[in-house]
Amino acid sequence: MRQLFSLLFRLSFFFFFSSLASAADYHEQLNLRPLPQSALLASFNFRSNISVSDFEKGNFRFFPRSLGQILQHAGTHELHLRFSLGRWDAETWGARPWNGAREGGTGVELWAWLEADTNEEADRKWLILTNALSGLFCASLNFIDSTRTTRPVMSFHPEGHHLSLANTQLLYGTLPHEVVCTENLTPFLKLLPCKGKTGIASLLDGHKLFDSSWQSMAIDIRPLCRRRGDCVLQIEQTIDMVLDVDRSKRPRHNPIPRPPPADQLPCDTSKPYHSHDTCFPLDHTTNQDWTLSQIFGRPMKGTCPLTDSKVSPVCIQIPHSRPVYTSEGTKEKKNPDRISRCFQPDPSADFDMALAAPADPSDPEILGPATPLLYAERSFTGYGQERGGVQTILRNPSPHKEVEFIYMETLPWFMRIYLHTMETRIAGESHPDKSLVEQVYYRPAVDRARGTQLEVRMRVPPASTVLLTYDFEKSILRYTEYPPDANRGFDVPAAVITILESPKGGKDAARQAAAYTLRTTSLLCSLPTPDFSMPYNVIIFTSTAIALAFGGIFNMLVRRMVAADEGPEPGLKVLIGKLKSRLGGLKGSVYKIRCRVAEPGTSITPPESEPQRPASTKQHARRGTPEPSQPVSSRVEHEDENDDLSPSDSDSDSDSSADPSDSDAVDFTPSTCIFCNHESDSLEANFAHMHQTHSFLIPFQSSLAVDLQTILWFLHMVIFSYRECVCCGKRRRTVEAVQQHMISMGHCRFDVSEETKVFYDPDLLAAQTAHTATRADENTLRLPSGKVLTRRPERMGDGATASRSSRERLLAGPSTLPAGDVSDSPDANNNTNSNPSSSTLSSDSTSIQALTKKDRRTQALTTQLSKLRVGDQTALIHLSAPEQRAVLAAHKREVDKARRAERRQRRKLDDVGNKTAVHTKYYKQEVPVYMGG
Amino acid sequence: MTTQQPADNGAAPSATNVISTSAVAASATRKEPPPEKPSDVRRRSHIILSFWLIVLFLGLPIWWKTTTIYRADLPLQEMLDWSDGKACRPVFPLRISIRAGALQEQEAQNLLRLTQHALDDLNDFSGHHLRLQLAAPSVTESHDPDSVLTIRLAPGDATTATFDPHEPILDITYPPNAVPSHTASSSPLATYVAGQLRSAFAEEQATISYLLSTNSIPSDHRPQGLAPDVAQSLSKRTTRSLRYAPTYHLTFSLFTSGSLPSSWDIERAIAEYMKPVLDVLSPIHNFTIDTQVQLYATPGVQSQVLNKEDLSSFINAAEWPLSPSIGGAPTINFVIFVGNQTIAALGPDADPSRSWLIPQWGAVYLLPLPADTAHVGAATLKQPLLTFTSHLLALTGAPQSGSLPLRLSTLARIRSADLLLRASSTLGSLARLALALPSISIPPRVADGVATTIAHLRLACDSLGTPDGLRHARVAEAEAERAFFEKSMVGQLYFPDEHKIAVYLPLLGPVAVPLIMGLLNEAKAWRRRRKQRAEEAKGKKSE
Repeated sequence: MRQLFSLLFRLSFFFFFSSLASAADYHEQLNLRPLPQSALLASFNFRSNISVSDFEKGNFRFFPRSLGQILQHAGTHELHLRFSLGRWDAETWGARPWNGAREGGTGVELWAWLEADTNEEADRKWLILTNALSGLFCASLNFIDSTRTTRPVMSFHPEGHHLSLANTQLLYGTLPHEVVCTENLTPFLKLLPCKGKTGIASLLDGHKLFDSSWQSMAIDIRPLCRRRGDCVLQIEQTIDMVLDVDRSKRPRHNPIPRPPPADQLPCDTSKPYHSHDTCFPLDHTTNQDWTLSQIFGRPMKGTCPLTDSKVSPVCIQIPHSRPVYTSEGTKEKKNPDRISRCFQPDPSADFDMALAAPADPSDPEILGPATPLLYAERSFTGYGQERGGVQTILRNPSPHKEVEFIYMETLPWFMRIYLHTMETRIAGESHPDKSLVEQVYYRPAVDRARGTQLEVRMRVPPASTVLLTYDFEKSILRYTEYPPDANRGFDVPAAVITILESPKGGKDAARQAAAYTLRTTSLLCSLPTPDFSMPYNVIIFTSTAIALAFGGIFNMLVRRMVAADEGPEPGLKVLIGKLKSRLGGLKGSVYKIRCRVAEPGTSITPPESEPQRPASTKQHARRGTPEPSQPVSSRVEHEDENDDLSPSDSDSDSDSSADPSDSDAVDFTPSTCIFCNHESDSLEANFAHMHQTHSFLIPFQSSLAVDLQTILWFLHMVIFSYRECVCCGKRRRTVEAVQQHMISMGHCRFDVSEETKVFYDPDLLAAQTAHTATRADENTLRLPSGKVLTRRPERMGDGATASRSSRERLLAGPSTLPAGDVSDSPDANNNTNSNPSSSTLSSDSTSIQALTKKDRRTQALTTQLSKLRVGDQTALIHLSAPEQRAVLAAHKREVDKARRAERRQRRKLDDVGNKTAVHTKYYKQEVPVYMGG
Repeated sequence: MTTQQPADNGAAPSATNVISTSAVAASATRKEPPPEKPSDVRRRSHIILSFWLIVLFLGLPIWWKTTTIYRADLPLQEMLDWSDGKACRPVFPLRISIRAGALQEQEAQNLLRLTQHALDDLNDFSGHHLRLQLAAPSVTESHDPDSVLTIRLAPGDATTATFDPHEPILDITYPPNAVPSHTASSSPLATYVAGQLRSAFAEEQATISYLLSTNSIPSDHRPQGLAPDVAQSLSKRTTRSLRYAPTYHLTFSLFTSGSLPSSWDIERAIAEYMKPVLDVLSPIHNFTIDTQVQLYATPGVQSQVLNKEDLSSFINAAEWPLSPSIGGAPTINFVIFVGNQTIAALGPDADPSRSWLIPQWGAVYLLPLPADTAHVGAATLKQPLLTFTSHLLALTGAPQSGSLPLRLSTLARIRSADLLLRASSTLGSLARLALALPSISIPPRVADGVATTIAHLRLACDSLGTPDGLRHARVAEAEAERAFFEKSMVGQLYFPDEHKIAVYLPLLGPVAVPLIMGLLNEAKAWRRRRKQRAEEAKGKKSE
């Protein structure tokens, strides 16, 4: 088969040498060749000549003027342009038409010899050439810039006859991304003298051409000389296409493939299970059966009158045994090789020809595919966005003959190859074989300026497969360098493999003509693609960062650092305070209205703060209440103090609604029930109500040091100001909640604790306790209510339940306090007991009994003081005892508040942390979020 | 209750005591910070001051420098003056030499004076001025290159005037008695010569005055009384002529709807019939030529008789390969279409023509040939090419009447006037553009181009009517066009201010707030200090 092709090749050479006889003539021919599996190769070939003198004068006849002008303007001596689409299936179809000389890689390929003395001049002319051709062929040839242009050294050889190529330069450019389509065919046909109106060009239809499995349009312009000075410039236009006969035969009005009816389904009869009701459908018909008008969509419209009438315009390569039917007036000419025949149609009539199905369905009666000299496949290896590799598999099918060829890669600059990783290896062997490569020409890429050029002269031994591999690195492009479809990937041009005429070419190889050319498929390289809204985000982000840093530094430099209470009130705080006072006033009035209309017994939320409380009322309340002991009064004062500071001094406690100092108690009225706000007539009636409804009793009434109203006032304060349960000290956010808690839990009582003890006369109390408390043993105590107390940790009031009031606990201070500091305190004495882990109730009570009332007070104070830091203690020394007590109470409140605030803060932090953990760790968001821009 | 009594008594004073301490504590929470050291105050003011100095004297200038759009200085007023015609008053002093070998010096002077008077009486357009002079007697026969026209006076039988076909020479013969006497205030010969000259230059004058009137030349320079029909024909002619270019590319195409004829003898035909005109035009224009044959070309109109409307769509632009030349030269297309179509007569008395001219594009000639003609000979091409020659002159903008040498010299003057006015109006457009769009950038190249243009315009204006004038006007026009169509001018044009704010605000906003607040606080503190100092001073004084 190869012989046939070389014969054809020589035949065509013969044609164009014979055509030199007349200075300007025209030749066209269509070669049809059925290929296996219902494919049909149609090769259109058009040639026209112009004498060099006519060309220089600008008298164009058959040679297209538009192209001639471009050549003159760009100083082009020889030009080759290719538009290709699809893939040549070498395994099935065999060797390529024209030995691969008239085809290009996918997309557009252009190479030309330009007359130029310097590289700059060549580049300038190349730019003119590509721009002009781009306009002529409606292709993006103008995108062949310096990054896509190379100057091949070994791969390409001039086809024409040149006196000297000394001052010419070969430039080569590819556009693998270009999609070839009808708009490239129309200008192509316009270059023909017969314009696709008559002759074989009338068969060319964009719908059929670009529907083919593989097609390549080629334009070759070269000077040909017979003798010195008798030269012509020849333009050869070639279209090769492989048609899928089944697809081409689909009627034009019904282009959508549909499954055929069951009875028309072609079955594979070779399958063993084939029977009348079982069918394995064939994906293609093996027996070619077509007419010219079926596969090209129209018949041929006569012949072009400009051609030599002796040359037959249509030829088909099929064994002579198979009949071909043609329209009337056609002369058939069978070639002596018995495998091809040509037709000379009637010049004026439409020409059609039909190839009937072979008589014997098992024998398709077509020529077998010719074996190409080399098979080549190229693919990417590796993974990831950073690096990759290329592997080319080169297979020599010949059992005896070695193949020597030049492998050329033109890679885009963003594929940076590592030349040291390039190795050749014979398949099946583990070690690379360096002897396969004979010569390497490598021109490294320059970022954004030029691509990599790699030409490898190598050989493949007979009947073996060679793997050529190299690694590369992908670079990251600039933001504006990405095309609109950045995620599609970037096309890498096909590798060009030029097989030299004889394996032992020696030094003269550069002058050799190529025996066979093939191209691999182009590759699609995916580069890391950025988020294109990034620049805007970066602007915003950096601006914010800079602004924050600047603001911080500037403030640090300029602001004066003073203590927190020395500076002016923060503007925002002042504003908020003002706003709050407004709101409070509003709330207060609302509350009053609600109180007026509300039914008795319903609980009404008092406004949370009432800064406008008249001072006189408070004063009155305070004065009206006899002050039995200092701690209480100190607490009152502390609260007062807090009230005064409330707008500004709540730094440690931002949640003002839970801050007792912010929310003042409702005015104490002795006749109001502290548990359900029930109004009674008098204090006594109120106590009766509370006793009946809430089982409220004041224990040890007889040993009280103060009157009942004071106690009630204290409890009222605890409930309404501190929102604590009087019994267990639980805190709630609102007064109603505290009341609810106390009523439901039965905590409408209080026990004599460290805190409430101050209301009692200690001597009387002690006597009373001794009376009533029944001791079961050393460590237990039975209360009047019947409860039995067992031994508990220290500082438990005797005869009282353990109050877990946080106030008390805080008052007691941290237990880590070193005992040595307070050696004079009773607690320290207690610690010296036989049981150091806990103080016994008995010893405590005895010591209490032993002390006088005044001593007891001092002792409590000392205890409290001892829990303070040394510095604080010395700071308080100059104060009188009541003042110390007041300060201590205030201190306790503050610490309490701080604790609570800290707890709340920690809870918030935990919440946020949990949320963040949920969002970040355990659940990943499915959809990537793109910021604006 | 007795136990309560002492407690009560003790509690009251202690309570008041506590109240007073707490009041002290409350007031202490908002106590004044300790007085600052003067050095600290001074340092803070320095910090704020230096920040502001950096912002004002370093940041602002850098910002201004980096974001400002470069606008080169353009002589806007001068450019506008040029476009308004204030800078140059186009005057064409045409010198005409009179050679009167047969006359006495005195007689010739007298005749010249009288003729000049007659000319001045006839002329109403100051811009176009004919000046007569006597040729130097030493120069014989040949035409004086400095003058536009040479009048050769020779005695003869009757008063006749003929133009020399090859040189700008007007031959006038006169009867012997026609020579004016010394004292005569008028002479028929002088009037005759003046009339001849005026008619010879009438078209040029009309064309130039039309050119001036279409441009914004002040009305006092503008010629009056341009008849409407004359103006119309002139406007037609100026619109059909191509823009001036030093080189024109001529494309001769043979189109045929079938396959025949497929060759023609165009090379010889051009050499024979067109080359002479091209040679004559060569001082003004260069020409490059190419030819092509196109078969199977169907015209855009299929009808046999072509109406006026069909003529414009006859050229099948989509199918016919008439792409313009890729060099810089504009292409003039001459199409010969082989076909027997006829053009419908435009008027009842008009001759049915075979050709028509497409303004600024070229001409088409319909050539009927026998169906089997394979080769078109040079003789067949004679008529088409002669037609094309006249079309070429029309397309280049040459006047229609007069002798050929005179027409060509007229063409040079018309062209230079045209180029001068074109360049001036381009300058004016550029100036108006620069004024209208404050955000357009003006690169230095534009300023250079404008400077070159103005320099050459001035030279051209000074030497109007001479070959130098044409050359300068050509340069000026090319430079003006290049300056106007500078690519980098439009880059920044569509970048609105809102976008700048969107980019700047995230940075400048947060940076500006602490700066301004710091400045305000410092100013406040400074005022307070000053007041305090004044009070102290007052207190001291009162003491």
